[in-house]
Amino acid sequence: MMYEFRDAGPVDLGEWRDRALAFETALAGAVVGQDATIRLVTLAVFCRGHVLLQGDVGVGKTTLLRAVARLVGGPYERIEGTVDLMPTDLVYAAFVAEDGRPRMEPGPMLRHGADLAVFFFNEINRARPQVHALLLRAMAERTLTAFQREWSFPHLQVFADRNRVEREETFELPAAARDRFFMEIPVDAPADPEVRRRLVFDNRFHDADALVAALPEGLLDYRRLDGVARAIQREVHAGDEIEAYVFALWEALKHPADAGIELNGVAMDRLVQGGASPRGVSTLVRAARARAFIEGRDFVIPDDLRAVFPAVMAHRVFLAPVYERRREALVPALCDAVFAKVPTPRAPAAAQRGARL
Amino acid sequence: MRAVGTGLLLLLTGVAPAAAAEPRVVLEPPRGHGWWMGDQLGARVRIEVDAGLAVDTAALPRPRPIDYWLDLVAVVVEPAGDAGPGRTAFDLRLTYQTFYAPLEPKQLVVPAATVGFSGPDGPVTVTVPAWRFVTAPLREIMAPTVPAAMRPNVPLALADTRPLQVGTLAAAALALLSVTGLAHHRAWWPFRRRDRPFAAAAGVIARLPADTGGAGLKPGFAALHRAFDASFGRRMLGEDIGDFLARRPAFRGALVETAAFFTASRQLFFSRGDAGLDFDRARLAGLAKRLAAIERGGAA
Repeated sequence: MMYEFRDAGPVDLGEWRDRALAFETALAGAVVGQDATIRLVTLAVFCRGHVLLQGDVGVGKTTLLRAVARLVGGPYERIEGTVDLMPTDLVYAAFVAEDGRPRMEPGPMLRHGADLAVFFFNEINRARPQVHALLLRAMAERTLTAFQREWSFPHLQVFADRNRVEREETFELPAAARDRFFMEIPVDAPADPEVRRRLVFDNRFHDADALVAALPEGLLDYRRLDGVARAIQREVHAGDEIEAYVFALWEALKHPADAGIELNGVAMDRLVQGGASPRGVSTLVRAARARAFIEGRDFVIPDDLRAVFPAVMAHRVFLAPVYERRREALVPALCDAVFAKVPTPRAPAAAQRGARL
Repeated sequence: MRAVGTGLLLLLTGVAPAAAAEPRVVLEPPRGHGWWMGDQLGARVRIEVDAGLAVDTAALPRPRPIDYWLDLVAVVVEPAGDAGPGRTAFDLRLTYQTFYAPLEPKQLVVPAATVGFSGPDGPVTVTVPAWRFVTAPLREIMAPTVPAAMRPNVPLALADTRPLQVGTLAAAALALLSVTGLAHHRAWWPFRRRDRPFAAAAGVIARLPADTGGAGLKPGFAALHRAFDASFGRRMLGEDIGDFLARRPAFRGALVETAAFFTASRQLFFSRGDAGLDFDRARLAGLAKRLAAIERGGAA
């Protein structure tokens, strides 16, 4: 399949699928026992979506992100979130020059100009809301205003991580910020004892720099990923039946009580307060298309939606305050219940009835 | 002289087998006395004839009134095995009934009877000799005839049909119970059981018109999907086949067809067109029936 694009030349999706699988294989060699996480990160890369990783300390989040950056190629920058980090710290580098006079030069985000491909934000929840606001604009519009002019980052993909152990001196991301992350991917320590043994005793995994350096740089050409992502969205078919299914899933997630979903000890009619935005649902379909592409299909099936649903939708659901503390147990259970309840595919008559949803 | 006699004897014995030997008749008549009017008298006759002779059933005594006082009521003849070299025996049982009303004890004669045999040398007739018996009056000749002398009637024997009625009812109840059990087991009407979703799906598919194909099969596919959902306990997608078989190992035998069904379903419902769909109505119906059979614990 060859498609012409103004900006990127012809895209051979078959060849790009091979590259995507090679990308996954390379990542799996550097970060063992995280196959599910790697698959989701790959989907985000092929959808040009920003990712928030969350997990315990020392499970390999940073190594994974460094590996992704190397495989995608292109310049990358990284910044650590702290309480005193200010938005200007991302944009400007202020220092005293050799001549003793203060100088202002482009900071981490501007240093590489329009070429910036990957931007890491470690421990994003330690940064203040002002910083979040700046980042949100960069994520949503891929632009910044600095030095009296507009800067654009057409290839930018933001990866952020936060650990969910510490709550003190942190600033929880506002709902709007979370909605802008394409996916929120949980990273857990591998459960397989053999993998854990290797991680602890195999010297290869102790030197993260060497591990990352061993990966082929620029396996995916960051300049062409935009074109590939568009080709995937254009060529992978999501038909009427999938539309009806997505709408039914959406309704069930927003109004679980109406869908007949019950969770133990939860008043279902008051559980979900908001969220599941149209942007979130469109993101769901994009991620599902990318998964169909990686699985070698040219049409989306319900399995694709289910595979990406928790990563894409879970952080976009806002619960009533009483249930927010139990979020980590309730939201996955809710997502699971939605898929356990909504039927697919449906007989033509039933599908028509469901279309008004 | 002696040698001549021996030679003559040898000649005679040597010739004897060539000629037909005389039939031998041994009559065993019933006891000679102690008979009243209405009694049946059975006479046994053993007849030995040359092998090769067979009873000519047309030439047996025919049960009939022989005289005004005597009936022949039954004639039975059956082979009685060998009777020495070249001989065979028959058992003849003749049953007579006497209606003679004597005023005093009196001897009567049962006349001789003939039995015909057919053989390779033509018919042979054997005569059963006549025999005698003494019959006596039932009561004193001068006794007055009074009603009291009559024996009471045999009480009317009522055939009790109650055990038969009970048996019939029990058998009918058992049959009804069996049919009910079978209907329940196979989820026939009125047992459209909720725990037999595949049987219900097979019913839906069976009601599709015979020439259904392509997109027309969607209701059938959807019905089978709902059956999988019900059997799995939640909505089942193609990637759940492994979990489904882990939960319901009985369906392992249908793995290949189940996987093919899900592949075909994806093509039918989600791809750009259903061209090249390799699942026709017969295959769908076959799969549904097979799953229904596994579901009720039948063939895998």
